[in-house]
Amino acid sequence: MYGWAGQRLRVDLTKGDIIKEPLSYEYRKKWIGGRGFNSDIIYNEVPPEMSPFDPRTRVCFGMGPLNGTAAPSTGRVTVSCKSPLTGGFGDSNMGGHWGAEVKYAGYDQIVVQGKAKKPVYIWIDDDKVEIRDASHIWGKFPRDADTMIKEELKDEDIHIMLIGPAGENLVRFACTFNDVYRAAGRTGHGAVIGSKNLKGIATRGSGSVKIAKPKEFFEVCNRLRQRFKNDPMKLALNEYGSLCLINYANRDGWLPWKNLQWGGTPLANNMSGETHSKTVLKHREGCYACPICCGRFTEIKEGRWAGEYFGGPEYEHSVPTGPRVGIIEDANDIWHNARLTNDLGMDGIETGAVISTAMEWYQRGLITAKDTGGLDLEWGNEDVVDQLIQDIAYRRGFGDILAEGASRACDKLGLGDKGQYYTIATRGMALPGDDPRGLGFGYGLSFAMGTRGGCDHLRSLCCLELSGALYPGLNTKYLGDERPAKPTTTVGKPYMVYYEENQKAVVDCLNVCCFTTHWSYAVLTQDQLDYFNACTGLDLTLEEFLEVGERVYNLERAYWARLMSGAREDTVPERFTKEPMPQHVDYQTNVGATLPIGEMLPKYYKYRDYEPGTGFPSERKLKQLGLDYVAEDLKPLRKKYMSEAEKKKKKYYY
Amino acid sequence: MAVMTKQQAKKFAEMSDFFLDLLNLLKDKGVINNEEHRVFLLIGYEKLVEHLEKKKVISSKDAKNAMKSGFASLVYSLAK
Amino acid sequence: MEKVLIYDQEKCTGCRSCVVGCSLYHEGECSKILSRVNIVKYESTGECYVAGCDLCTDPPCAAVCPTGACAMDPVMGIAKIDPDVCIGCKECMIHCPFGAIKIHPITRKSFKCDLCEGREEGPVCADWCPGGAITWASPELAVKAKKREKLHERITAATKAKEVS
Repeated sequence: MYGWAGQRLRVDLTKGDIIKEPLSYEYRKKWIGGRGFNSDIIYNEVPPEMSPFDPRTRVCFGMGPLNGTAAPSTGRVTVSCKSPLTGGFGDSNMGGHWGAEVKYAGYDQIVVQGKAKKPVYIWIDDDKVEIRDASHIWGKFPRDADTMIKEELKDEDIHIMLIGPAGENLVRFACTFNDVYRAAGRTGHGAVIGSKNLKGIATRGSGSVKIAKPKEFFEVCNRLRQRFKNDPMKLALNEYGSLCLINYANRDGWLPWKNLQWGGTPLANNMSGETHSKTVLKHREGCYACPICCGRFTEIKEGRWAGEYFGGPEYEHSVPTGPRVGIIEDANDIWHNARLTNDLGMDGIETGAVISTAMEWYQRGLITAKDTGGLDLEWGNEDVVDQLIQDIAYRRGFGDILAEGASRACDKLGLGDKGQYYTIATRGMALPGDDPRGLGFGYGLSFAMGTRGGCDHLRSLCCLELSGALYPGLNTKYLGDERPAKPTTTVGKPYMVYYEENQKAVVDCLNVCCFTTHWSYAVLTQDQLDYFNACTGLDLTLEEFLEVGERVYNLERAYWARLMSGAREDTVPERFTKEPMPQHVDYQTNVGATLPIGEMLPKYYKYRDYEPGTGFPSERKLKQLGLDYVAEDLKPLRKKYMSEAEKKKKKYYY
Repeated sequence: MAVMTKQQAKKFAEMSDFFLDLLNLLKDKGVINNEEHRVFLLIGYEKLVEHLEKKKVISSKDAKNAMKSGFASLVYSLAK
Repeated sequence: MEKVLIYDQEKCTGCRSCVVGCSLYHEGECSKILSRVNIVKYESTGECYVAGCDLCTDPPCAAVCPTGACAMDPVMGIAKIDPDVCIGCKECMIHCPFGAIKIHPITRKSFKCDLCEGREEGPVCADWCPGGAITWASPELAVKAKKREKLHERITAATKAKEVS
């Protein structure tokens, strides 16, 4: 078999069963891999009413046919579950080298179900799979657990997926890592893994990925790698990491300052990639087969945190526990906070979001020191942020409430709709460091429509409006119009978001890094089809290829529909529609902007063929995509969604 | 081949988001069928232009301009 | 000036583009075990280096080979292993100071880098390395470039120190 390994590994931790399930040709052609395989399992095996921490729930690790091959950036893994944070469909994606290792061991996907009686880790040594005792590494930071497992198994070259203490303590936004620092951040699967008493999965793979047409495949990979040598995004990302965005974000007013009350800060350059590389950069790093290598390794040299070192940080990881909570003067505080969320195993985005939300509640008098256990939630108070991050991970005091995520914390504190306004979330998931009043209206549209919560920059990743300007003619090529390259216009955005969402979904099925396809556009859709066909030996057309993305997207949308989440919940945080962007930086380009979501949403619905009333995928579209069983599932639910009882329920999470 | 009037073309050129409407019009006029409508919606503008050139709905010169100047040029070359 | 493979370890990011490219080019499959170049890495500290053939002019691998299977190719400037003559004794693997020789998982014979003999653009690893950790260059020119790079670093550091004070 070419590309795929051809089988799924299913581990039942309750019974201790190891099951290997072959994946048929039809299945692989329908779902391709990665996010496709995962979404199918979650839809079929995790019903809407199941609690995310129920032992019967599944957590899936999906690899694609390209993982472990020489195509650009083939190290990524999709981790999917029913999210403890939103209660709905959740997934995220991590880089590193573990995904390639699992392919070399001979598996396209790992599904974990059940719950072990005491802490365990799974050891995959090619076709030999064991469940081993993890009591000695439970509670350890990923960096220490990684070292200890390698010592125990007497092999420094294995790759390990791990969770941190936050996952063990069921923090609703705990995350997962591989190779210590490569994080799958969002939607809280770290807690689902922790709820199963699973610490991690260690893997050694001594096999290979077979290629159907090796010469042709080499030719495509080589052609693309030559293109990357002078690619503008590659050069920026390699030199400065994803922090290369900081000064641009600040100029265009999308860098969150104090819970997105403002879109920038005059001191933003303190944490820019340029400054980082001159002060604390220890080392550049790259994920498997990557031609970009945007990874950083940071070592703090001065001040109270001197001596700390860690892999990272990324833009999205460090901004929330930085400018978003009002910290910018001493960048070392920002690096330290990023180190903490890494070691404790929590999503940097949700951690910073929930703290900044609490700070705004405090600023506006909705909560006081009585609620916070005496903590003074003043903007920029690093002592409090440092303490809170740890209190959240270990569920202590006020941190225990915040560990529930902003929307639930709001309910626990009894702050009502007024409090929910400041959570800056959609469907229970908080916004990352991307204010759509500056980043772009396409992104803004996709924040309402994302299928793993809302507020999610990675479901569309419509960089045609961001880095698209670096590739003249690219917007015209796909959309027929160059005007959408401007971020703050609604022109062409409905089609842009539709196209990019489908495209991104396929990228997640292949499990290549979206930095090669959506930041840098060095790898175009046709190129992906070329390397996919050469690798697997299939002969898909461009429409069959993109249709897989549309299929996966609609399946995830249907998952939310089953939970009674649809058109009414397709909203963006009201701050973006009600508050014109104020000025905070001299050269800021988006002063006065609001997000005109209403101008774009109805047209987008038409592209997606969603029904206007419910927002559910239409029966026609589902049948077109071979999802007849999904159409059957949704049939009885349309009336229920439109009932008066449902209309009265205002849900922030499920 | 003309599938719309110059007034319609002008209206199209002023549209904020045109692609679905253009595909709908081409389907109504029998230039593309149901299946092709679905396909081009997925795979984008450039492939539509290539298809229209191949079917001689527009000339090679028009196709080239359509790729260089975008849909505003394309709709005028589809108008009489 | 003949070109050689130059390893600038400080620049290695551990991405393994070299590894997977080598394996695909030579064997038509993608893996780590079939690659003639290797990456050694500590994930928790980020330290990594490239373990590849260092193109010794008096290679220990050839010196210890009992059959002559591993021998210096004077035209290419690198020791090459003839799999038809190799008896799989592994002496070359043990004696290479750089860990650049491996045992093939199926034939159980030694195999090593051959500079992608015949490839016009030169070795794949150097061609694909995104950070410049592996380059295919004349050693004299490479050393000159490295010296200038180090000088530039010292000038920048001195300027920065002056700015701060």
